[in-house]
Amino acid sequence: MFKVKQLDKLVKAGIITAEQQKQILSFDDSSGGFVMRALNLLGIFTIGVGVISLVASNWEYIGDNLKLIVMFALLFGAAGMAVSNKLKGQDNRAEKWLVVLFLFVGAAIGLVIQIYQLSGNIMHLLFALWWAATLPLLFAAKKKYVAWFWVPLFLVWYAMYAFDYKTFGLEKFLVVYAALYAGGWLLSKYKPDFVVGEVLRRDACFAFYLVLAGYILWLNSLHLTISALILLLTSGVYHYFKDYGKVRLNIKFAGLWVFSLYIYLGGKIGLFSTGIGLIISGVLLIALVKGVVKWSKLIKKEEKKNA
Amino acid sequence: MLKKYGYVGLVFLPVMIMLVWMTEIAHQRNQGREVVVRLRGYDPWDLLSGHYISYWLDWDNTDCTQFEGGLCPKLAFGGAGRFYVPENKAQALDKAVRDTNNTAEIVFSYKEGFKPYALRLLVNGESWERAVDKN
Repeated sequence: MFKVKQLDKLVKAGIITAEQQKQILSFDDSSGGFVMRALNLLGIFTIGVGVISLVASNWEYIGDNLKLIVMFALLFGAAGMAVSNKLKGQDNRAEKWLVVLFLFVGAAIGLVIQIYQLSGNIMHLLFALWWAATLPLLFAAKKKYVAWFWVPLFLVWYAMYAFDYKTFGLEKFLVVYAALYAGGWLLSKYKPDFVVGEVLRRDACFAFYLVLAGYILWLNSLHLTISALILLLTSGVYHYFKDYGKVRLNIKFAGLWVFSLYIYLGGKIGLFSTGIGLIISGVLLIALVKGVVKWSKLIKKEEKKNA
Repeated sequence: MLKKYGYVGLVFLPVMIMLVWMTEIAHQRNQGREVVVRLRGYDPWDLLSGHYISYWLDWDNTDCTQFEGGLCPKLAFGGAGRFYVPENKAQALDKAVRDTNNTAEIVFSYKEGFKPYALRLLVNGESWERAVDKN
């Protein structure tokens, strides 16, 4: 909408101040709505993937040194563009270049692994170095774009780490994801400018419940006991902070828990091998569904009352 | 001003980390001396995976006198590894390496106490590219 050069002339003429110029550019930059921004981001992502695949498909014709030079030219170029746009007050463009830089770093790690024939746990190395090297970008970013990529990368890396180093245990996943969720929650509450907090809170919560579902369905008495405690404890915390959406989510998981307990006990006492047992099972299932719906409605009522 | 430099520092830090990491690898590779280790036990389901081949090191047929004390440092090398090749040449290399009449070896850069780095893959003593082109 507004040209930088025209605004420069207005600043020189003393019609607007340099601060106002920045504000106008920032306003101009942020306009366009969610769909346009999402499409823009998708475009950048596609270009990044395109560059990576172009280099990958032609890599045998390019010498190793040239590959590394091109790689660093792309890295410095993306970082330079982010800084240049930021200094011009075009924050939105700068944020997109940060995403490009994030993707280029991942591609660059892959390239170094191939050129130097690195062996061992390559995927672990790639993910670990990727999130560690791009961590500073989270502090530079003012929008969530980089965090949308960085946080899932970090959560997946942790899952890989836990599997690779034989420290696998779903309890550990639950503890780590719960801690990350709490960290994200604290950041979004007390440091709202640090946008990674909100993304971390949402993604860690998703990862936590994903693991919890698997944990509940493990059909094991210890898992059922621990998951019941988790659901009770978290429900109490959510209720205290009036996070009714999460309480309703816990009610659904309580339904899953009862279902899992029922399958577990049914298998133990042979409930599914007799006609009467099957009838009781059917009645219990219907009661379970009705119970979850009713409970959710009660919470909704309380939510409206407190609103 | 400090804010501006802080932003520049944060944005360029990932690039610097990459530069330091790559330089460190290149430096370590140059520090070691070349040793040749035979390959064996190719897993038919895993050997060829797109643009790399997976290998197992054959210590029984490797000349251990090239290492200090005449002992092969099996632990330092690990049992298995990957060697990256262009995708369109991978199949031909796979065939050449599988051929029991051929001898496949990897030249590593090795220094005691450091991670070994694969430098070249040899088939019958010559570079794998030449061996593949011959077939």
